Amino acid sequence: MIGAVLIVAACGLAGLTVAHSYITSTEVIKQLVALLQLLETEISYTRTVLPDICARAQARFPGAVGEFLAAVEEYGGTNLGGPFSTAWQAGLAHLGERGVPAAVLDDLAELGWALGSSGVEEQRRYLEATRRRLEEAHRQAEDEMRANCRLWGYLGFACGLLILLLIS
Amino acid sequence: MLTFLAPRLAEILGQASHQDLEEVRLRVNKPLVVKTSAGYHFLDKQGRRVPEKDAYVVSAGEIDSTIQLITKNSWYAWEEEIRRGYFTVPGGHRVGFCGRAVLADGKISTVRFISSLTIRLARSVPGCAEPLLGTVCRAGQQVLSTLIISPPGCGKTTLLRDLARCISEAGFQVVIIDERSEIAASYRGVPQLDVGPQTDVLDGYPKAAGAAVAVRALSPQVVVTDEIGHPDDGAALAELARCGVKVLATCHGESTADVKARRWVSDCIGVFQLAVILSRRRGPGTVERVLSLSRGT
Repeated sequence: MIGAVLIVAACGLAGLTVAHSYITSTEVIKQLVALLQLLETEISYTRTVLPDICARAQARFPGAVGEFLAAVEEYGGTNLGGPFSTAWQAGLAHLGERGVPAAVLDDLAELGWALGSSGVEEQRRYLEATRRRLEEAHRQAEDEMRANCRLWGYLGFACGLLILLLIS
Repeated sequence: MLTFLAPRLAEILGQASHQDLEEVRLRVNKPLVVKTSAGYHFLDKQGRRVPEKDAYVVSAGEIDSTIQLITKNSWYAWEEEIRRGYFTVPGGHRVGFCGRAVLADGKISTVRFISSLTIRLARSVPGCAEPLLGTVCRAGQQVLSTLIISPPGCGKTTLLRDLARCISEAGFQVVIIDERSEIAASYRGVPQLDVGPQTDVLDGYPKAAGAAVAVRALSPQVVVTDEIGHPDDGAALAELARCGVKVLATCHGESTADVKARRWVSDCIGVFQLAVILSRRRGPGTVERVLSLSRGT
């Protein structure tokens, strides 16, 4: 009896974990969109330098995005005089580990090569273009979440019950 | 200053024992050059003065790295400085640069392919204005509007800065309209050179705009500004005088006659009560004459 409960619970938990990853991924992309909006504001209106933006923004973005910014700041601090793009790429490695889709990482990587290397108008264009692509990715992620979240939630428990049936 | 140099260059200059270092010149694929009071010298990788053939050669990567450090990887934050052709860094040092200009509507919009940097180390000379203080600031109660006149390189700005400091320390509210960031050498709005405890700095403001802000919002007793030479400057200074504000300023010239010969001066010469003529005869800052202008001389 206890074993049966454990099997169903374990499978159910696995299913819920997969379902939760859709939710997390969607939330991270949403935060990345907000980060790009923040970058656009800070660069366009107050001309804040990138290291200061990364330091200040960490408190506004807990979780994966905050960790990404912390990694960028840390790498930049230990590689003084190096281009910002290498610090940015180092930060993206952290995001990759948190399940951010590869397409989103590619868009951010492309942005990283441009950040800080040109005037305000060009920075604004790069940020706007990347933000639009990420907004589209967020819409797709939301659709997938709606389609798959409940499915995986039920699938987990269903698999557990199926295993029980097969065993018995 | 060393924190803004590429690490290898910072190491070399850190080893160099030049107390009177005035300039550092970095050029892509060219020897590292410094200027002291004794002239220009080439340095090797240990910071020693050597012949050109033995000097350390600066790489393009080191120029790039230095620019990244100065701009904090944020080229967009320095657009105004890029158009002017120099950065001001903490300590008040000025970094001029050369490269490929990108034009828009006939004006420089940005610069690419920077190939050389000239770092001029800021130096103030505290106390250089004290011999003049009793003349400019009568009995510590009244400041006379003063125009400092000299050819380039004679110490006008250095003297002006120290006068501002002394007058501020004497208790006057001073506003500096620092259009070219040369007087206070502000970095992100904070003066890097001592301009006195009761001094506000309008960094980068054109003189006319700065004068309007000063009068409306800052209640100055004395306004200090450098290099008057534009027709609009005269009107701005005249307005300040009408509001009862005393003005300390500089302009290029050899004498008061030379300055008066310029058309725009008629708008503002009446503002000034004293003229101080400088030269380099006994070194920068040599005071040749102090003239009273209120008697029409």
